[in-house]
Amino acid sequence: MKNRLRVLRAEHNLSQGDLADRLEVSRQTVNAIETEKYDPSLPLAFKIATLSGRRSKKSSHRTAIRESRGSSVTSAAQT
Amino acid sequence: MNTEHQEVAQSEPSRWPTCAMLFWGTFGTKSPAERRYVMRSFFAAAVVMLWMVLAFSDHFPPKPAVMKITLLATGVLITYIAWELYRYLSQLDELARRMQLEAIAWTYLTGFVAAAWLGVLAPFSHFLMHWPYKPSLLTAIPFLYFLLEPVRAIWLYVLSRRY
Repeated sequence: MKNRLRVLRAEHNLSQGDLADRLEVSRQTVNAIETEKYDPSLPLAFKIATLSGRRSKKSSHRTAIRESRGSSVTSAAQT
Repeated sequence: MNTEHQEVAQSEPSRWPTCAMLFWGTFGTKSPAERRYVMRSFFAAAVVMLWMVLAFSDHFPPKPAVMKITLLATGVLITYIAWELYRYLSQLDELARRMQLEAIAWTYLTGFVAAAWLGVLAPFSHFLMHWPYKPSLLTAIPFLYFLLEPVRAIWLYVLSRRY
């Protein structure tokens, strides 16, 4: 799967090792994702998105659901 | 991407540790989990090997009681190594774990195919034909683990070429 991990890493001035430390994976894993030889799992993809300051559509969708659930619980408590 | 970014973003080679993979079946990261797995497995295997050398050099063929203790120790050793391997695998990151599990799966298939071929070739070989009727040879079964470990290491090496 195509990805922009190398570009994002460069924008944050991180080496593969630095990024691997932050993501708690091995450097080889970061390398395999960058070279598009390996597709990360969903949790790792979310971690990458969080680190790069971006949110995947699914993540924003999940947050929206959580927020809407929170507001419905609050409004139920008020009534 | 500017020039500075391009320098940072240079693609590094994956550099999988070939020696550690082929010799220990691990990734040579020297992480606490890996060190624990390698050290404890090696120490446990060394203790059992030492016991076997001492027991078998004293009296060969060994006395039935010694043979039973040796086989029991081998069973305990293999169970312990398997437990340590499980603990090591659970500490790996997702790509490394995937490779290890894939290597184990391929090792299982390799062992299965080898066993199947031994069965197919049995009628053509006097030794193979009579092997099942020699109960003493069945005691060698626990040691198949040590035969399959190098196979797992080779599969790990082969799989690492993919990433």
